[in-house]
Amino acid sequence: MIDPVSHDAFEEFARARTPHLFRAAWLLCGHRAEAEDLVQETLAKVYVRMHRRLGPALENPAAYAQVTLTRTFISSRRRRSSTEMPYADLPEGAAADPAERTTLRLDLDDALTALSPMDRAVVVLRYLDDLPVDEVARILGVSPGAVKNRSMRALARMRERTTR
Amino acid sequence: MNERDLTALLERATGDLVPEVDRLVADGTARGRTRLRRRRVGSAVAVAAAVVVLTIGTSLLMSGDGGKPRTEPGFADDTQSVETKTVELPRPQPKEPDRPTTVSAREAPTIIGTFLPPGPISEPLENADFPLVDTADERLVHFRYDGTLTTFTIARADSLATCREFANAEQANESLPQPVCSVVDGLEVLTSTQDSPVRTIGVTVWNHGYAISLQSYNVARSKNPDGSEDVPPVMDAPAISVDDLITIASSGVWFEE
Repeated sequence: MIDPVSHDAFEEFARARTPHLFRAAWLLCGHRAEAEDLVQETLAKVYVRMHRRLGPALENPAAYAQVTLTRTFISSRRRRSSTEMPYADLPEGAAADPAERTTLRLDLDDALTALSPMDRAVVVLRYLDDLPVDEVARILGVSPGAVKNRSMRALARMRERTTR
Repeated sequence: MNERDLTALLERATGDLVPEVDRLVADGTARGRTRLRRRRVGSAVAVAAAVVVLTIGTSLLMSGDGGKPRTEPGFADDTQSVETKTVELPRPQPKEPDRPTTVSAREAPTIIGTFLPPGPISEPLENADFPLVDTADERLVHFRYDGTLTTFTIARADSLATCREFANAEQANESLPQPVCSVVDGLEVLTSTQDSPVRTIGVTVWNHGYAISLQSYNVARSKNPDGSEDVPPVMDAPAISVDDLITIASSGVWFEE
């Protein structure tokens, strides 16, 4: 449990978790700048929650941050969903990522852009974070059956895109 | 590709992604600090200026009785922000709904949960105390977020008083603070709080010919199993902040775009 008023404790936590949060955010957003913004927004929310004067202290900040990241992503996509569709082509900016294994990431991004935001979230939580179906269902507010269906559907679509 | 392949693929593809940790942590912390400071300053201003006022919230909307909340209301906690807003004119609103609502009452708790910090969200409550209404013109659902009672409604605005009429209406109970009608991002928002016998914060937003209302309490139920109303609080303040209530009620997610 983290001391609700300790800045050092928050910074230590944030430094330790940011690399993992960024990986998840990149898979969700498919775009470095958006992923960075999502991580910053998540850290801001965790900061506020940790420094809340009232209410119980945060027992598991890492889990809280992961849930916050996922829900913030889904919420932002929902607000923008009326004007956005999954990409048919690669999003602008993805090709500018200078890191190694760029080709693999581009292929993966191509496959992920075919998925809805909720399906992407299922993929990240199930296969990157390795969370059980029930936990993913709780985080996303859907039934375990829906998580299984979305997993299967996402896997099928990604298989289709990556084997082309 | 099977599940194991996908896990390996995700790890290989992202394993060498190196974020700028220093910058992300610094910027995230700065955002958090600013937000926290705004909340606290907003609270102080609200208390000093007596801007914190009473909710009529959902129960008034649904009952249309001009000032008697169906459930117990309350004052905002001092950590809840009620920020003063720059005066602005509301966007013109249609006299009748200009589009259908797309979220059923049963789906609403899940949708609302995506806007909020993580916390358990119950199934919709549905019994004599907490009716569930799910028609095209009216949605009403009660559920629990983080163990506290939460009520969400959408009703046709043309069947209700206006935001300013609610704010100027004479209160049935003079000890209750008056609701405040303000304009946030072009939409009229009625904000109200109560402190006794339980604490509650409510907001109602007028949008697309509807009044969307969300009310958060600091208790789990409106009365005890024996019928008494001295319900023990689950936490000191309602679980959802004013800012979050306004964000949710103002969202376009409730309508077909």
